[in-house]
Amino acid sequence: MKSNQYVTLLALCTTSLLTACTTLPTARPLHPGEHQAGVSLGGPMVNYGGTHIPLPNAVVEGRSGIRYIRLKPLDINYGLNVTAAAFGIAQLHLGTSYLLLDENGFIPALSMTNRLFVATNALTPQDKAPGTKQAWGAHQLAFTASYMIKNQLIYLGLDQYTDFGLPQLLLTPSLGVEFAPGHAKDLKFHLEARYYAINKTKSLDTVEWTTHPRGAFGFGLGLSYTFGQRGCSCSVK
Amino acid sequence: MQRQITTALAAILLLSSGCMQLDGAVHNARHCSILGPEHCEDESDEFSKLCTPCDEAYTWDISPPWPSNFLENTDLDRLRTPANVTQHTIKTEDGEGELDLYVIPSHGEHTQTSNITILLQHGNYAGIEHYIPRVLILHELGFEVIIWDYRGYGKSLPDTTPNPDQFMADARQIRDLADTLKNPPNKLVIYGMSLGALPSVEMALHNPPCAMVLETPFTSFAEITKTNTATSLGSGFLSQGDYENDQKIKEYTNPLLVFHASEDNLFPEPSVRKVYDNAGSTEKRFRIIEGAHHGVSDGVPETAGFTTYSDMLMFTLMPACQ
Repeated sequence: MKSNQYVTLLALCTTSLLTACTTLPTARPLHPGEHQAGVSLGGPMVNYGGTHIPLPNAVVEGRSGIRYIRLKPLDINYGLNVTAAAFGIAQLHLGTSYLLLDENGFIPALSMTNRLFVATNALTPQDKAPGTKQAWGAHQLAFTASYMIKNQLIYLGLDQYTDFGLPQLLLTPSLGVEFAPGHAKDLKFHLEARYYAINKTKSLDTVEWTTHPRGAFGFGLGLSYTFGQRGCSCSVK
Repeated sequence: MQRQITTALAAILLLSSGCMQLDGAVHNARHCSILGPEHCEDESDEFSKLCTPCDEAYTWDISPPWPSNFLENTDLDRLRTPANVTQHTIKTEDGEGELDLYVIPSHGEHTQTSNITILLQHGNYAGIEHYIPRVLILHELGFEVIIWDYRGYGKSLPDTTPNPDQFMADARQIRDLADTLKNPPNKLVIYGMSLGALPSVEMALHNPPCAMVLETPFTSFAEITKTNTATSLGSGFLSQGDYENDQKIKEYTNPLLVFHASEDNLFPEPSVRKVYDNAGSTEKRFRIIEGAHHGVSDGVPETAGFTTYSDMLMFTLMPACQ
């Protein structure tokens, strides 16, 4: 029976709409007074009848530097998943990023991000079967190492996503670059490859991710604009 | 700032009133109007060949390439060809569909089964043509069989698949209609394969049969999400929530037989067992067929063998439907 495609769309969207989205890089936390607004697009790729489809998962978000802790910047980040909204889901994230280590020669800068994702379909006016107005939540812990090379940022990250309803080890490495085209230092693009849940294998092929049966490989890209009065740059080279 | 926040919240609420649902993404139909060489002569899997255009009748006289040991312990060389098959076109209650339905009479040689009608809800791929081998098995066992195509499948109209409301409404309509189409004294068994478990459970709740058989059944969106994406997202996020069979079946109390294929690549045993465990039935059985896959070529009866499959079926149906 050739039936292994039939819930692909549902399940891929389920995942992509939630933790498996691309967000603005947090390799370098913003300094107090700095703000960044941007949009990211991307998520895992799925094999749908032999065609590998990237996911149209759009996130509008912002970052704001708020303070220094031990001379290292701490910022907050916040966003709305626009694609999820089209499905009647209010999905938001809120988190912080902190610079643990400055870049020093061959030693990369290291940042830590804690982020909470929450989603609910309770706001949708649609008729639903009883008991299907629900909420969902997950936590993301990310460590990102990065080098700044001629004003272009290259970063390598490792994330753990913890779904509160189904906690387990879900490691997600990523590799990305953030660059400012021309002289527009405040306007930045980023490209990122991300291997979602690289430690997970599954025997089921109801959903066949591009890297089936291990995890799900994906791409993301984004555009951001940084503004505001910059604070001390003493902790970031 | 307050105005900006208010505007942002209003935008979120507006966006959150979106109406996209993915229930329709479950379907994997093949309508007769789209069939071409790739579905017939170019298709290497004999069980997956779809060769009947819309204006031609299905061929019931076939001899599929069964697994070598399928007919072991029987004196059969092949399964008999159904006779006097009647075709019915059922106008749906919303007036938007015409469902293709067939009644395959019992051959009458087995008195134990000739007074039982099986209302068969097929799986997700293609349409009736793909499931004729399964009809032959049930017919050989002596049952009367009723099989129908969902909207968008086989020769049913329209050529687009149903939304959840239509799918469930059609199931209820066919369930009631089956009482008028079957041989009058017969008891009715509802049999759902894979996706067919969705209309089957709906039918069973609407108008309970003497027994229900679910083979490698569709479990629920929530289970599918959990087992394929490692998230605990509830079913209501992207669907109407009408396809949560593991919850709906709590209301079903008549006898139940659930077949699980040990090599099922779509619905794992814990999910299928949840459907079974949640059923309100006091008379119920859970059968695992070792080595069986999801489908019709190497599925439950093909792997279990004709005799074993027959025994398992009779063990539940005989006391319940005699």
